Amino acid sequence: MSEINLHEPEVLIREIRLGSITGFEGTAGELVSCAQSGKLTESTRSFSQCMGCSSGNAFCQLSMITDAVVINHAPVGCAGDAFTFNFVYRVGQMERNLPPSIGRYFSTNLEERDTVFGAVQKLAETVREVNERLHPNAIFITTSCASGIIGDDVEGTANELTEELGIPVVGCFCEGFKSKMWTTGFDSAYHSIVRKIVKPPQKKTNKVNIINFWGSHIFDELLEPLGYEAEYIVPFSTIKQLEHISEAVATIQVCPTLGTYIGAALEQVYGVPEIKSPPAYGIAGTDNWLREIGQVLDRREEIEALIIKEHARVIPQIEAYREKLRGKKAYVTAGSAHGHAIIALLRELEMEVQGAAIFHHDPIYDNGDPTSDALAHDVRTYGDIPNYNVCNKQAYELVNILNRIKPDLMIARHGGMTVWGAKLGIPSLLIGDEQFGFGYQGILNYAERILETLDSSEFVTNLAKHSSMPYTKWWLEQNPFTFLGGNTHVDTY
Amino acid sequence: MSTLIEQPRYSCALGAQQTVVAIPRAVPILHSGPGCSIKISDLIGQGEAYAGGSTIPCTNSGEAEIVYGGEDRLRSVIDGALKVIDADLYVVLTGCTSDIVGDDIERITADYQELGYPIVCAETGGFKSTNYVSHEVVVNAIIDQYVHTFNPGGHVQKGLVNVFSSVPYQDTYWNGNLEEIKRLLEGLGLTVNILFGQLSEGISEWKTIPDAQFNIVAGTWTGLGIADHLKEKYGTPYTHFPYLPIGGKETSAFLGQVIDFADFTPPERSAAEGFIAKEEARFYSHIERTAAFMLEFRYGLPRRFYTILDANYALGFSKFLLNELGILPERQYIVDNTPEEFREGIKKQFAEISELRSTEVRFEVDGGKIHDEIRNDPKKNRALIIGSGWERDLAKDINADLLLVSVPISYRLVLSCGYAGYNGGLRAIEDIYDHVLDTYR
Amino acid sequence: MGKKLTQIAIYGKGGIGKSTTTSNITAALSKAGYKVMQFGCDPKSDSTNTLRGGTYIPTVLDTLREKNVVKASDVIFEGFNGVYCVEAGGPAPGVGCAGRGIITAVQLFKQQKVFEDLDLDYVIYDVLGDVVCGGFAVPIREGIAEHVFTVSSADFMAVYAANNLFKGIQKYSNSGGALLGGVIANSINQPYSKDIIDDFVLQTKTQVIEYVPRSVTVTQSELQGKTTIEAFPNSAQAQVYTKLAEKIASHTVSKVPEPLDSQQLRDWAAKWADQLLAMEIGEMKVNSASNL
Repeated sequence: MSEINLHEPEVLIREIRLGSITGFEGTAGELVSCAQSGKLTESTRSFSQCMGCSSGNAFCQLSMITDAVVINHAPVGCAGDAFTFNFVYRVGQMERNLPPSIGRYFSTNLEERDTVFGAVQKLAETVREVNERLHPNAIFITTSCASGIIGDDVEGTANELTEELGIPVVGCFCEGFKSKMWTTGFDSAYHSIVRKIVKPPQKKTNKVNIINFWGSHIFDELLEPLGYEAEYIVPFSTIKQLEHISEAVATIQVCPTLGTYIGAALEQVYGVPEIKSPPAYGIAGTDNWLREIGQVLDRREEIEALIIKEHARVIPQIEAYREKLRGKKAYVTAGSAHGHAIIALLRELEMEVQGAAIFHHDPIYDNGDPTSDALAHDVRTYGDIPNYNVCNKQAYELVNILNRIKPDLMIARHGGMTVWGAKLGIPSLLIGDEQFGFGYQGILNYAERILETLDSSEFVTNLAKHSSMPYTKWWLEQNPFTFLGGNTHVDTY
Repeated sequence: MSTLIEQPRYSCALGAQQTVVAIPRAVPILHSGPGCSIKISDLIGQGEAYAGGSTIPCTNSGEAEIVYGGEDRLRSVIDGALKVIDADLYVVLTGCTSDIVGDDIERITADYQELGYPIVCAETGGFKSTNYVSHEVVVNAIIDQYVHTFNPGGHVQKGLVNVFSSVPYQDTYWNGNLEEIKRLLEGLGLTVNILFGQLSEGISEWKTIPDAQFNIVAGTWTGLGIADHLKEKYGTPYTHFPYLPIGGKETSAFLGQVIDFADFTPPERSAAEGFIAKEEARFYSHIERTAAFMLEFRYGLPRRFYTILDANYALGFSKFLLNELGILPERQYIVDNTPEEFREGIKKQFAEISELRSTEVRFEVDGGKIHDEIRNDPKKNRALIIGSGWERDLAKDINADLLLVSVPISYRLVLSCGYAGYNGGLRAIEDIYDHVLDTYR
Repeated sequence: MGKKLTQIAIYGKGGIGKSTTTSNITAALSKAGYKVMQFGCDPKSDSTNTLRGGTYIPTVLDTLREKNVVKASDVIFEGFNGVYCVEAGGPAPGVGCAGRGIITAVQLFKQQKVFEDLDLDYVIYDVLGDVVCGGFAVPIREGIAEHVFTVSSADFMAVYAANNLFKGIQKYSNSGGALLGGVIANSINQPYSKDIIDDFVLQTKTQVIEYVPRSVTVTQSELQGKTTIEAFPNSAQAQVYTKLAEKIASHTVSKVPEPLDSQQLRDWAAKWADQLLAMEIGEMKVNSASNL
């Protein structure tokens, strides 16, 4: 279990804190046993393609706190993702019947002279200007490679301004070069929230924290009949709501890769129990997860009744889907945890998972509990998965693998990957809504979309005839893991 | 004085990765942090293209590369890229990490150049400039380090021109614009190196850059640095049209300027002028058809406009909207962080925007400030805003129509749509009035 | 045109006498009839003070910060005997990035083709010897300085520092950058000092360009804000600097440095420690004890 330390401005990166890795090839079973038996060794790639960085992931969580503002202490290019998240923010507002507003995102616009002379003064002026303009309830400052290398004292500046302006001005340390895993950005964002926004509990409420992105509110219909209220965090919450998340009765993870840090922090520091079962994907997964909910929320009987009822409703429909999908071959590329979830769903539908390219692997989460290991759960419940590759995107490996395996279906869960399946004529599917596959209903949702995708192959077949391939013939003939190697022990960081 | 930016509408120097992606079969190799490329693609990317998007090789510099230097890592990634990616040109670009710690990429790239690989490098650390400026740096680097080794100049091909206009990807409509400009110049009888996009021949075209009879810069300031460089290096003269020509009047003026510069023989000149006349006639026949609508539509049409655009589009659209559609200019905001030396010239253009009037222009990169100012203007008649996706709520709040021309666009799917030239002008009219009419139930 | 411009870099650990030495070389070359520019690359920005009557000049980076755009002519100032003085500048202690500052300043000059316009014979970069990041090595990269000289005294710490510097220079020398011309041995007063430094250059296969004794004349000149060449042109010390400048002017062959590795350096130092101890016991007067 990693120890949550709210006194340090920076959270430890995942490589060190959890021993997470970004390079592996083998079977899922092999990965799980390495992970559970001690040090997992990292492998680096001598050739790599662009990925994503902590800054983007931190921003994605901070950018939709409705009464806070984000200042990116960086050259303007680092705010290139600002509008993409703004778009998501506004669609989310529509879905939640909130009035339309644009996200208020600022850049200190670091230029050459700032890198030479330092830019804390510019940062302070920007914070004051933003405060004048908008009077937000909190200001978050995200850092960048440039601000990090020149060593600007963002924490000191943030603390001074907090006193001066009377609102939390909080540094979120998410420089791109700090971690090989962009998911460390989530941890950075949550760390800044827990250490500076969340207040010690005054009472216990009947709220259940749901750590999610901005997906649909599927937990309302589960929790309300049980007498509880779902509190979806962090996007679309207010500073006031975040101050009180320590008073919740439990925390649910939609994706433990996302929320590992904040779930553990709320439990360790404020005693809010975290639901540690892997998220509810597949029948066994959903049964386990629901039973833990029943236990933590003290509603065991209601949950058992629910399980029986849902089984009766859903299992015949799943059987019907299995008839159509049995034996179809799928390949998955996705983030950790969510990738494991999709694998569970596919196996539940009795499809064959030929392999997976998952973006990183956390051998353990911050709660220190091995039951949270969703991949181990998959292997135990459904059997081993061959060709399990841990790689941080790296389209070149994916294209090589797809070219060899030629699955019936490719499922992706991160932008920029599905196109490679399509270019090779493989039906490809990406579901945006993270909550789509959750629970018993989720199995049915996914099955329907999979059938649709398998059925409509005209688009991809046509595209494959006309698409360009930027990879050399030489590469497509090599072992996909030619550039993987050079073991780096995670402890060296 | 703080130069904070709210609502980014351009990228940093490394944004010139898209300049490389726009060259057929060229690939950028980034020596930078892991998130740079995707953030650039988020704002100004348009799909994977050939070797863009998630295909772009990157050193993904981490703590080790910062503290110990990243040169070995760069070599390793270049080695891999040369084997794995099938490209005609590889362009090494640096990000903040490499430029602050001082990695010697020139030396590394030179090692590969000496072995005969088609590879060049440019220093584009994000903090150095905007991507408008680095676009020129990258193009000049390709010319100096690659083109020049194949073609040191000295032999002029009559009628061949190089065109420097829309900045690929930063201008979302670059494909459509460059297609139209190429079409028009070919219509005059010239042979056109358009250099970027589908209609370019890629590096075989770039290799003929030094042979041009003259160069054409159709844009306010980005491109001048390249044309000046070519003039100094190869003696190629150039003609400069100070904004993107949109619509009949400006396109004819642009093409007329090119004809004057082209040193045509009388029959060539005559043919070219005939081409312009035909295009104009076609353009104005459509304008004529809309006149009834413009003058007689019972309900509201926009009578005044704001632009929140880069210099190219600000001037191009302002002239077009006023002189061809009779919509009156309110205030124009130029958001590309125009270098000081060009601002006076631009102000002068706006001061003489038509024979009858001038209009106010402001250089501002703080989008929040721009919005506040516009909101505080007295509410008069119906307005039109030519801007970006950031303006959605603003337009609604002041009951204005919004045409999306600047990044971030997001609410339109742009393939071959362009606003340059005669076709572009017609398209602009259709798009503007589509929006307007769509507001009526 | 076609005059050959020679660019030289002089590195030395802080406090070793690098700026004093460099300024005197610049002054001497100027008096010998050459057109010289001295380009200070130390964030303290005081390299050219003694060429300008003890005054600080506005630095390249400060000017860039104020005006956004810098024309090289804005930051070149004339000093003693018409030498051109430039200071790169840099951030205040504890903030920013001095290495990036050097990169920015040097690149600016490279881009503006200043040296040709001024018809210079020599550009001399005076660079902080603690080459702690890439930026400080920029003056010795390919296309900038051709020859680099290191200022060192015979104190062991200075020798260690010089050896370390050779490692930094070696990296660039191996790939087209400046080559090592030799060591300028500063504050060489005792006979054994000369022996130590001579032995060091023997081990590292380089040479001593000149021996410069410590002299109160230098101190007096600096207090006046001048170089020795200017303040006391007929002094013995001025002769030494003049001779040094001549050697540099006629210097042609430089090499890739061959620094000692850690073990070799320790062994070498231990050998000298023994020898100095032996000398002391053998009743040679040792006034300034070296750091044993």
